[in-house]
Amino acid sequence: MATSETPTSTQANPGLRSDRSSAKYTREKAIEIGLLSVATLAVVSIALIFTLLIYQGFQGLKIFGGTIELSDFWSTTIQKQEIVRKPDGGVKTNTDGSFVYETKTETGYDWQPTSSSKAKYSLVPLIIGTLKVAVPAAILGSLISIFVAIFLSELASPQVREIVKPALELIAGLPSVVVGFFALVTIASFVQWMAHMPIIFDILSQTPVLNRFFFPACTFAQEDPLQQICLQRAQGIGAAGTYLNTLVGALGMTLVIIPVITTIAEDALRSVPNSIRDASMALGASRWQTAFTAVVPAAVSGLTAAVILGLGRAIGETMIVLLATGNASILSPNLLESGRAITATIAAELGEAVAGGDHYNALFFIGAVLFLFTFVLNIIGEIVVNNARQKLRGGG
Amino acid sequence: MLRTSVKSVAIALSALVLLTSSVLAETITVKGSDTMVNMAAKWASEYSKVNPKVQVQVSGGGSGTGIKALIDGQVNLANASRQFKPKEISTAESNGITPVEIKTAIDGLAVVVNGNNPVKKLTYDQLSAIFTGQITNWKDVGGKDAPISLYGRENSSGTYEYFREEVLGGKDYAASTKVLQGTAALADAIGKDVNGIAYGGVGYFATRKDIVTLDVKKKGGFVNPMLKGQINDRAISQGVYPISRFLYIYSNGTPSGEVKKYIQWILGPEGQKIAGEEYVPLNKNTAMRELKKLEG
Repeated sequence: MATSETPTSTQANPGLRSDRSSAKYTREKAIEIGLLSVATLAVVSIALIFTLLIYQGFQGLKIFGGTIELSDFWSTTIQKQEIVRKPDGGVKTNTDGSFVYETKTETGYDWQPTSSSKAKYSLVPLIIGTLKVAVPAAILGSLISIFVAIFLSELASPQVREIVKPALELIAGLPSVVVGFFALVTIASFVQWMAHMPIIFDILSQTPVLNRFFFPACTFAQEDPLQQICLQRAQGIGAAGTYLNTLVGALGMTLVIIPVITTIAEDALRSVPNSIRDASMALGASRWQTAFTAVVPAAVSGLTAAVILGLGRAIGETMIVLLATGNASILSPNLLESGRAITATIAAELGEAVAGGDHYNALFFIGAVLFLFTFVLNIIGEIVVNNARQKLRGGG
Repeated sequence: MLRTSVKSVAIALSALVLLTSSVLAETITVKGSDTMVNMAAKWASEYSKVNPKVQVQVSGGGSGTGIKALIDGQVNLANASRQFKPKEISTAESNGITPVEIKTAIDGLAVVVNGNNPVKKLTYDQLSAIFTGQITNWKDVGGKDAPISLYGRENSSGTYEYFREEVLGGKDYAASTKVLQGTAALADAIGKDVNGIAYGGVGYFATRKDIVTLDVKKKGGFVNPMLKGQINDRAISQGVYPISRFLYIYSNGTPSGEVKKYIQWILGPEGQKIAGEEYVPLNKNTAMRELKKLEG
């Protein structure tokens, strides 16, 4: 600042505090106040958003004058018409061919906010849907990103770094709707193709436990013998995957969070003092031995923070889950089945929910829940990062 | 939804340009249903050729949005793919607004499956059992032994609501229904998923070779919304095909002046020809009845 007036002076604030009447002081002060107000604005908007979410969200609750019980966000008791089946599993029909129904009462975990009988607002399927995308994405994204970060900070030559870094920044700049579209069109076909490879299909559908979480879709060609095998096995565990599923969403999400995690992880690795590297090298360790046995353990809390912040981003991301996961609000743990995330629910439904109605308020409520999720994750991430920095500075 | 909102933004922008270029002309503002927004925009642009003194501004946002804007007195006309709800009528009346309903076109909803699916016809009873998740295997409705894969629209969509009330008898859709953004996305999904079934405006499926519209039976016989590769206008407009709904324009009180002329034009041969490009035009009797409404 003001280098034209004092081109030779590089020391900070020459004469600023002593000469309060000068025009320079006034200008500096004005800039300072301007910047402060901009910073305050950011903080105030966050506070306002949070207040609005809580205020509007809680208005729907019975205790605040709405009609939704707090327990409705968990489950509701519903009366359901069910088709009567014969002992062999066939369907019982009347003489005119129509089905026979009976009424059953059960506890339902349904998200059916515009039902014509009774609106149902269970958050359970939405939270499952959110986690089914975010957790696998965070795990996969972290594995890739941390290795990339180690490579970039410890092993890569400056020339290689100059190519890889901007490439990562380019990915960070990809609009998530583009990634979502890519997932919908390309990743979905790829996942289906992979899951249908005979060896992979056998492993996924036959290994106990694994088949609960990765049972493929039975969308082989009708004449393919695997189709019948798939259907039989699917019946055995009571679920089969679908073309659009949470794994497709998770893979797309991985692309988006890789730059987030890599940047923070690389920061963490670079802030490890060189003394640690030098000590390791002096003891005869090679560069990659140093990286994995000395630098990574020293930066472990910074790396943890990177993973947590990546998870936070994955939970809050909207477009990818909206486009690629099928958005069915089901309870299945199978990653190859559909799932409905909180973010996608808000994006899809808020536009046409009647302002001030129960549905509208419920969407604000789940928005508040989402905010709380990411807020807590970010706080934890920040705390871990700060601890890591202090430990390295204090101990180094 | 995405597609339509992009469209509505484009339409809003072009409307803005038109507005600034002709400040002196009389303007009619129309807002509402995303289903109708393409048709309404085409009406507006064609009408400006017939009657250059009048500018019609069209925007989307959904039936509910348009109805709300009419109730608040922000627009001259509201497009809606559903009728006013009793609560909306009472709110309107307390605002001093008397909504008058005019039918402008018919939207036939088709039920579609993949072209390789041997099932070609279903009754209301079967459709209801399928979409509520009670029947989960195609063999229970005369098909192969394969799980049924359900596809549907967002719960805020007018189509979602209409299909539930008309075909499911008001029962909830199965939770396992995969929800896609817009009818075009449904058509794509059914083209890829051999076990899929979905519903939507017949116009979206008419040109696709890889999917089949089902014969549907409510009471009488089975009827298909398509006939020889064309939308079956007669069956839909005469109500022989059961799953169809009117697309409405609502005005505040009986329209008069330029607004009245505009609606008369929509109900006339030119407006109905445009309606027929995407939907089904009104049959002659209905059009006459709607025109009479304009005379109060």
